[in-house]
Amino acid sequence: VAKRDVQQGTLALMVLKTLEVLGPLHGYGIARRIEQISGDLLAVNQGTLYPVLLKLEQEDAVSSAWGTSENNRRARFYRLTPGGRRRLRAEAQNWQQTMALIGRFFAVKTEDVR
Amino acid sequence: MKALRRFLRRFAVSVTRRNDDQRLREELEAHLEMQTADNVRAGLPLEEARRRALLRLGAGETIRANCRDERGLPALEDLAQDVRYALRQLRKAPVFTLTATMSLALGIGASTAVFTVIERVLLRPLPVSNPNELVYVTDERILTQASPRFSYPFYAILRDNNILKGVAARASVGLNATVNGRVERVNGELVSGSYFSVLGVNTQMGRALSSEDDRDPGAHPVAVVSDRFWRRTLHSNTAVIGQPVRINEHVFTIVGIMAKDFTGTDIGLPTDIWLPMMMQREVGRALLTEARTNWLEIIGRLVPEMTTERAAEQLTAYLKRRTSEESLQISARQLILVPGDKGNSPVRRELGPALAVLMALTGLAMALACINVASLLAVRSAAREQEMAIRLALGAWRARLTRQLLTEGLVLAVLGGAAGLLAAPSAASLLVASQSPSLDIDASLDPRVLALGVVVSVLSGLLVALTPILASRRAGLGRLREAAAAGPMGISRRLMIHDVVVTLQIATALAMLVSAALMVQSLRSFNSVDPGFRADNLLLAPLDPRAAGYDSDRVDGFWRNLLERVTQIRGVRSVSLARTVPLAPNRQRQHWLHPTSGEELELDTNFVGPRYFRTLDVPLLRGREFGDEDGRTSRPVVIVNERLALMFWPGQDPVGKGVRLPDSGNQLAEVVGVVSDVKYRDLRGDTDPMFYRPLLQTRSTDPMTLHIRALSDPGELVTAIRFAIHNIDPNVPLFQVATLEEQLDASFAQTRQAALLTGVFGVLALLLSGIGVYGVTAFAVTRRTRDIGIRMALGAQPRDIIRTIGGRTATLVTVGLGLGLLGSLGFTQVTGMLLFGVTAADSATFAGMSVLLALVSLLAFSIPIRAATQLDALVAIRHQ
Repeated sequence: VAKRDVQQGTLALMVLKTLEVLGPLHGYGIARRIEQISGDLLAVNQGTLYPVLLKLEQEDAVSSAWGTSENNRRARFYRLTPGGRRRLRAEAQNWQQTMALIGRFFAVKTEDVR
Repeated sequence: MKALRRFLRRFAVSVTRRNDDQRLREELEAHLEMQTADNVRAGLPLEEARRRALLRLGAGETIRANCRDERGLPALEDLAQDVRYALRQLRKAPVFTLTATMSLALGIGASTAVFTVIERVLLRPLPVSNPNELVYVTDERILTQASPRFSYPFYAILRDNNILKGVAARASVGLNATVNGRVERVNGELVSGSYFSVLGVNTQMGRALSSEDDRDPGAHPVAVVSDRFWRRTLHSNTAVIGQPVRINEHVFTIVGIMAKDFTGTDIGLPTDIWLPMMMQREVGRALLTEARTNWLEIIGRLVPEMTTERAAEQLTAYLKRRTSEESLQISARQLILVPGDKGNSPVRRELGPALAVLMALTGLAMALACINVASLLAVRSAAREQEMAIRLALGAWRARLTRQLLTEGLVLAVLGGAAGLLAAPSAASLLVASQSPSLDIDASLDPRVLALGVVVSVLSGLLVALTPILASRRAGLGRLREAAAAGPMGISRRLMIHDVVVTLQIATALAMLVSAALMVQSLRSFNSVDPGFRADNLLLAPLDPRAAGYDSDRVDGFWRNLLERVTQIRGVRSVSLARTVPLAPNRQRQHWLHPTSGEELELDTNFVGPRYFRTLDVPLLRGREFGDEDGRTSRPVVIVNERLALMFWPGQDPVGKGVRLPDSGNQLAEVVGVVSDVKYRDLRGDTDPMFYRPLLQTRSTDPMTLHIRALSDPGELVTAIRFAIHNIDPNVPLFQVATLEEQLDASFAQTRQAALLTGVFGVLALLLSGIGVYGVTAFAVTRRTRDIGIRMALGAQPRDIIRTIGGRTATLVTVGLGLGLLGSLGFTQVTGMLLFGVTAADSATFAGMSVLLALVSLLAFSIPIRAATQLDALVAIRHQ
């Protein structure tokens, strides 16, 4: 469960960022975008995206509605809500701080410590 | 209305759930189509494109299941259903529920209460930095005294060592604090300037005392107050820093409020006000240059990596060097360092082992509570076997049934645990109060104890659920058929668990009953033991003249005045004063020279007022009692007890003999009387040799206790006495009036508590083991009714029936009693220290309690058996 939570957390952030950059998008579009950028995170199973989308919707980070895709197919479109935007900003900042901190740790060489 | 809303909500949930599923299905289908289209565009044939798209997406069912998990909370829903079901079952059987809950509540409440006190007195480290580095500086007196004290000059030498990281001195002192015109008696502490830094504690507001506050005698009227004092007396006013507070006759400035959790190093005597050591004269001590008065506790902090032994070695060497250099009046002693991480407690030494015994008893009580509830549940599960079998037949999972039974056990445990934990703090305060009236311990539940209580509750729930679960494992489809055709073999197998429970119950019940009976006999012995005085109608009122500003020149007048006034109160037979009260924790010891060997001995010494022995009803064996004439101007006199007479002047009449007094230049005093021994320390064991000195000859300004012998109920006199004291001097407040009977009761409080605890659980266990035996027998009779009928039709006598059915029960009871006897033997070894006047292996008690249990079992056995032997053979054969 823990592993899935971590993955879900990362995925959620990617979904939010994708929606911010590309605007309203359907599940398949989000999956493709994430695959393009992240390579193989979703390669195993695109389906893992849907529980994440559902959870985000329950948390009011995204909203969804039926719409028509670029080649005239009925599809469910997800859209970032103001709350989702706020959350994205907060989590992105959080993420960067963590990265910077971890980065510094890895940058320190053994000699520096002594 | 509520029902309608609930209906609508349920309806809404079920509808949206289907829609959600539908929506997801459509969404996934769209996803697949788009992926397939992309794949076709990339050049794959349609079939292959679709296949890859499916692989890429993953199994639709799994995705939907994962989404469902996100949507609802299935585990919680199941649990809620189980809990509802369990509660319904429990509601259906209120007597069972009440008995089971009470049993668990008693067990959990009692063990939590005892553990609370143990945690406070024995386990909790002081809230200071690195408590493990703290040590008390003591010497060989630690072998006989809880906390050996030292003089100030001794401390002053020791302080300058560089072996320890720091050294601090402290002494408790009772104070009168006046705030807004109201006098309040508070626990004070005189501390060296190093005290707070050595302990590593800080204030929550203002500053702590430092060595700057401890330079010149009388020059630092500053005080640090405790959080409790600040909240209670100063009403949490943050503006008190820098404000004056009147302590005894002097005005001090409050400079800080101590951290919330730090209440000094004495457990059971929380400090309210800390004053600099140099201000001791202002609160009635003038001992800075007094090398012969040992009154200070010395606390040190070890440097890391230093062992207590090595530090003690080096300190002793250091001390030898310094004392020879300065040719001081201090004999260099072999120092011993003892760990100070848990502080010091006047009660720890006496209470520790007794508390451990109480803990063992409550542990057994807890186990018994679990067995009791388990046995009740087992009886119920037998009745519910049919239900289980039907549910299994209808397709319930066995695991689900097990979870259901587990939930029932846990629900019971939660009910019992909640009741027990709610009652625990008050039980703990009662426990504390009954151990010693002067003990002041915060008995509220702390997180650690609470956690333990919760763990115990949950464990008991699991344990309790074990029996029905084991029983249900054999409940199956076969049961339904078997109920119609029960063979003897079937019965013998299926009763196993009930048998084990009943046997265990009898065993623990016996251990409890034996323990209870021994405790009750001990209580009777306690009551019949002669303490050497008469306790009824005697009132005790502690008074501190020093706190009201009396010095040793004026104090005699106060005492004389007081005695005269109180004697005149109607209903008072006799009045006197004493430094040491029988069976109270504080003892005073002084150094006396043995008349023949010349050896210096530290012996109990009580300062008493005129007519003390008459007031306490202590028989005077020879000579005379102290009277008003034994004052400062008359010849020094002493009275000794029998043991002392035997020790100092064996075979001679001590009256008229001379003995050197411990202070005032070793003046010679004459022995004027011999009194019989009084048990000051403990009702058990021997009394110690004791010197009595007339209070009015000692110049002592120590707190004394007024002893008032009333003609009848002394409670009615309290107001009159308060009034009399107020009339003489309103600055001497009267606190904590107690009776000597209370003091006497407190001295065997642990035995009384153990008796109560084991008694309650013992009787409960007795009843429940009776019910258990009844249940097992009745069950066997019902199951074998047809069998019995056939035998009787074939000419069997009631005797044979009894033998057939009863053999099994008899075995159970015998094995239970056997185990119980063995268990009791081991158990009473542990509880032995609470016993008095009866041996731990008292055979009469063991036999008596075994017979009692056997009789109860026999009674419980005879009811269903009687029914069996009176069966009509024909009816019995047609049974089922």
